[in-house]
Amino acid sequence: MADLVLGGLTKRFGTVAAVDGIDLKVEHGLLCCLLGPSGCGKTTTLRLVAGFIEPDGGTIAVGGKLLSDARASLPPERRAMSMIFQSYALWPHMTLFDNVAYGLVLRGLGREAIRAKVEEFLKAIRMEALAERYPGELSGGQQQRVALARALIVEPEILLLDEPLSNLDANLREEMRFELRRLHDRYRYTTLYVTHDQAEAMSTADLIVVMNHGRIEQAGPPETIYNRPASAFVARFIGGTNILKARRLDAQHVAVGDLALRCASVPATGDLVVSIRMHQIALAANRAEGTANTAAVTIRRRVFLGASNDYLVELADGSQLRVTTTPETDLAVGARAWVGLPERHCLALAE
Amino acid sequence: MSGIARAKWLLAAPVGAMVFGFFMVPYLNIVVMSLRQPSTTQAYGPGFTTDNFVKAATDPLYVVTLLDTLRLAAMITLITLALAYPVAFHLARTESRWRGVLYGLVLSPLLVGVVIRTFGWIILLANNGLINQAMRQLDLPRLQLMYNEFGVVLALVHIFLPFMVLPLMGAIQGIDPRLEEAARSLGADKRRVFLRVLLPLSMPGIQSGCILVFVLACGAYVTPLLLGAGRVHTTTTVVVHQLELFLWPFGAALALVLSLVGLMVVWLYARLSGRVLRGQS
Repeated sequence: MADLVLGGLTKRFGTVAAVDGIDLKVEHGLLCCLLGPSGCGKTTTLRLVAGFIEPDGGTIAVGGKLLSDARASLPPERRAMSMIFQSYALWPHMTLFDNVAYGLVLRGLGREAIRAKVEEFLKAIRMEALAERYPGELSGGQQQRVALARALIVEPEILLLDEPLSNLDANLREEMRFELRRLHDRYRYTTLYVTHDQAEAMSTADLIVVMNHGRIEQAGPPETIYNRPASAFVARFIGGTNILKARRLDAQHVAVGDLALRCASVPATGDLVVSIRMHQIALAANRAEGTANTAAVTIRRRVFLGASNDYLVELADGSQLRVTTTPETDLAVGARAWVGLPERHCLALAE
Repeated sequence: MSGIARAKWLLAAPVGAMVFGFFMVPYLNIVVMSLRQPSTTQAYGPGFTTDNFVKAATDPLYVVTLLDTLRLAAMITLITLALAYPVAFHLARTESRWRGVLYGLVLSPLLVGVVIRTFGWIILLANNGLINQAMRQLDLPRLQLMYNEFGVVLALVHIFLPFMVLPLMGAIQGIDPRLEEAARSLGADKRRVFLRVLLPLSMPGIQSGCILVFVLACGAYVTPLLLGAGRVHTTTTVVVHQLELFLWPFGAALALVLSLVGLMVVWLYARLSGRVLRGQS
């Protein structure tokens, strides 16, 4: 069982801590996404795990076996991990067959065994007809599928992916997400996957780790990250939300301007914000039943998006909210209306 | 002819005239000279003959010298390649702020003219040069560092290093470091990564660097003359010697034979290494 455990992992470049004491456990067979803006330390973390750079502190263990600590670090070729790169990194002077076969050649397998296994994997990515082609003759999507086969064929204990879909166009990216997930469900390798694209993380990961400034902001399944963000940063990064500055009133209430909001729970100390998802706000011409968490607004902008309407509304104190509604909601710009902010969707978070 | 096409020809004309006047004409003159009789009063006498080529291609003295020249050039090329590769790799990959300085150091052999540079080597390598003076101070035996092939090879390798480093560096800069990392992560150690990934992908640079250095080494004159000091004979020194003997036509024939054989070696090498390169585009 190859679980991956990082303990206090730290890497400094000069005086900057690119990775600042990361603790993480990825259970065997799970696909874990490291998600965050550029410069958050996610790629450095991945390269530390791969062994391409040596940590300044902390430990990396796979299946209970220590690969790296403060004193010694195994070189990448002895870590039984395979890495997949944004640039595909197929060897341009080798055919697809030779690219996929190389890992097995290194492991000293016989000719026939290699041929059989490479053909099986080329079939799994539906590219058996192109075995004798060179990478330069393939599209980006095809190259990335070959890179996947090349990485999977050696049966790594850990699979590492560094923004594998970022070089592909939007349609192909979506298709490859499902392909990645399909291959993961089939082979079940413990996987560490770096991306800055939240949709990619949501659709592929079992576990999402949101990183910022070299630290983990929050780790959890996609539903938790989306519905229960632990910080304003996470709420903002997993897009589609309104963030309003707030003041604590009591354990259940905050004040946004002069509007009192009832929230699920309120942190005891610190600067607060309230996060409310755009599509979880109710917008109507008249005030809804019950008076809790409602406010009068003025419609400032309306964009019809086909499947939905996107409104920008202004509260009495001038702060603005974005609201996504059904296409039937029809309110004119400049009109007065009411928003309803459901208590369970008003998340008071430490800023 | 359109205006643009005419302008292109006009722009190319000065270079064309230069090449024709200062390269083609003298070269053709050498070809004509090589087929003439020698003369002590002018560049060559009247009448045509093939004797010069027969002598250059059959007389063991000149054949052996030619083979020695090719052997030396090949040796210099290989040594230069072996020394230049690590330097080129480091320069191509370093992110050091000293990169510019290192680059300048690599080019520095080109900053001094060939005669002065060769005298520099003589000061170091001569029988009573700096190295042997130091050896004497330490009561160690004298080393024969020049008047032999060692000195010639050493000095020529020094001069030709930049011509090898630059094309190699260009080729290595074109190799994505991820290609090496991909191989490492699949289980290849550094030696295997070098042999299976770096070396084949550096071939375009190796090819052009080797051709450059080989051709330059075949044509080197001042360094073999001064550091060999009459004890190392290359075809170039022999050619110039013919001029002193008023055998200009024979010297011309020898020079042409060297050019032709050198070209053939380069052509063969390019074909062989081209086979390795195929499928890499």
